[in-house]
Amino acid sequence: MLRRDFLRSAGAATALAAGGQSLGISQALAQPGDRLRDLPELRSGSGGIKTQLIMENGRFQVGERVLTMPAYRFAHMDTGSLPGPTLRVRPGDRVEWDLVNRMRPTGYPDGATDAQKAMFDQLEYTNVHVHGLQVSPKPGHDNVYQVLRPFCTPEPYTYDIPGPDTGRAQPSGMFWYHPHKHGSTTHQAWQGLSGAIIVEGEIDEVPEIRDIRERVIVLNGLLVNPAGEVPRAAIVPNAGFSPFTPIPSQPTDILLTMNGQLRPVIDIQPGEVQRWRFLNAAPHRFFWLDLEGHEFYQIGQDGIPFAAPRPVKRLLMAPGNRAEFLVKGGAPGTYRLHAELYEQGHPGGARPGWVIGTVEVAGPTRDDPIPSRLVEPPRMPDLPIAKRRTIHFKGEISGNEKAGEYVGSHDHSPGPRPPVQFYLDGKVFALNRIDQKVLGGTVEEWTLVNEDVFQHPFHIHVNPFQVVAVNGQPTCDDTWWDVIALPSRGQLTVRMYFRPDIDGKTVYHCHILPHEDNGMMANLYIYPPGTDMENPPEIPDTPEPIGWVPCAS
Amino acid sequence: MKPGLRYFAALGLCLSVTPALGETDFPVWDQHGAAKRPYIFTQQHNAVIQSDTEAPAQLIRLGYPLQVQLPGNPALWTFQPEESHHVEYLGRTMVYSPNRIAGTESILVFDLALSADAADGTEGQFTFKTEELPASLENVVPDGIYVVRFQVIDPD
Repeated sequence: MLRRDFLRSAGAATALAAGGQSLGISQALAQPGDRLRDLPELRSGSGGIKTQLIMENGRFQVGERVLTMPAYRFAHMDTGSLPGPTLRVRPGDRVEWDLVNRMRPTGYPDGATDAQKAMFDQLEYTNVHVHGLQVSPKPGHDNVYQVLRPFCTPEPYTYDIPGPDTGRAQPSGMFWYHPHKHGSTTHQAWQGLSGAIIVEGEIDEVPEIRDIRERVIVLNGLLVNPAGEVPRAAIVPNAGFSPFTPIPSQPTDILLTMNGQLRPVIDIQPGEVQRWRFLNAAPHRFFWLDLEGHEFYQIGQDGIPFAAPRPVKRLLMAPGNRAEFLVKGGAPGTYRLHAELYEQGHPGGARPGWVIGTVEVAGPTRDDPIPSRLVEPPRMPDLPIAKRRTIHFKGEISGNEKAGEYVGSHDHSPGPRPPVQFYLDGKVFALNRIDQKVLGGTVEEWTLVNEDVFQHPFHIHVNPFQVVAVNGQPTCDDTWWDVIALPSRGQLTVRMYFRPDIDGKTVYHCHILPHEDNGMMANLYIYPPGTDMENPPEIPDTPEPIGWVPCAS
Repeated sequence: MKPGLRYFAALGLCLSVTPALGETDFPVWDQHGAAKRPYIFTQQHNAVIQSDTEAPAQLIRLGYPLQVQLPGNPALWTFQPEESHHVEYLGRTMVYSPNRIAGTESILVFDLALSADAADGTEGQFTFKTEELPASLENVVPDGIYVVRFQVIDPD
């Protein structure tokens, strides 16, 4: 099927049984060995789109399990989709959606009292982040401080995607949306709440790419108990295939899915070139992708296209990363698509290798070309480095430390001791502490020092960055990233251009989401160009959320 | 009251207000053909550090394996049969896990099972001890004594 042929109406891959509200099984095409499904899509019209982004519980068949968890859908879809539907837009578009939260709690531990259940009410509080889009972080836009409780008034969000008129258009590639409420981000990611945003543009008109089969593939890591629900509790890391255990304990399993399917099959003809867009939406697992007998020709990273395809044997995707590449079908046969064994620093050693799907090469032989040139990628402005900063990453997983700033394990003074804590510069996240103040229109270099073996993936909102040094050694790499894994007990230096037309308060954090939720996030304030940074204006506090219970049930 | 007793009291209170341990409260987990994964316990599950309000009862369903994972090496954790009830000790493995928790090089993984006489309502516990407790665990496993108390439920 050609790309232009399958720009289908939303809902084509869902809704075998209508009624997500009534917990009908929304997706039943999920047995191992089934063909990889295309996710439902919604495309913007002339100049933009307006819809609702609705979160409500449904039941989803994944392998032989039936999972009960919330899922995203757009307003015109009958049922939710695991993962969420894809949104297609273009630079210059205005996207407006009302976020509707109809999530209901699941995953209670056996014997939980009402008081204990109430302790985790916030796991259904939510908001939405458009990861990688260079849009305003202010209230009403990509505001990750927003808190929407279940069944409360929908929250409107508007995103003006930079067009050519800004002088720095949003690059064309793969971005994504997902919940970003501090404290519940991980839980909702374990539930698979994620969806792709495709920004179409110049690279889509490259002749060798324009008409080829395109696949949008979302990788999820679903942490489920035997009831097929995400445990509703504090979680701590452990050794073994399923990497986390709740307090109190529940048996857990981890399901690594492609488009909500276990080990689906991807069809390709010998010599056919397909375009695959991969998103790692799992909150914790790195995917080191390897397709037996094939190379990948990478054409973009984190939504930003390359000047020319880069042949690579394997691709490492930290949580939050996207990789877009071309694949040319080899000799007829069946080939395994692996997430290779990878040492990301988790307790107990390397995450095990896992076959996440297979590729079947069959049919008439073709000889599709691989392009030699793509597009002109964005350039780093030739500006002096306005400021250099150093950020330290450190985690604490013993359960031995007091809540708050890092003081070391010999402190025996009383006070609550969270099961785990993760620190940026020795501090856990605080809503109204501004950790960095930067000036729009400038270039800065940040050195990110990792004191852990955990390969914390650094992510910053709004503006992407380039890596200019690894452990102090210069690189010659013009790749743009918005998430990059820090080397174990090493450091990266990244260079960022803070685009001048976007100011406001936003965040940077580790994209291993259990780390982010447990403290490893900090606030960044971008002042507009012309601000006197020696005497900058006072930053108003972000209001604390009002109310602590669902609006109705 | 000692913290451990406080936790046990909280556990008892919790269970005393829990109505019958029947299907209404504990619906059967349909396994859908999947293997039964273990209940995993780490140092953060240690009963003696849990406050009354933060100590949900640890209920364990019949038929599920148990696993305890404690940071060690050089610390060596040992199962205490005299201070453990209604569990069987099945063995120990050591997983290399350096630089995660100060003063430990490995995770000691202990496999346990509910004893054959465990039934709905049975109360039990398991205990591990070490004499070489690293400073990094002094608050979470005071005195090197690790205890988890539980009650067995049988949704069937």
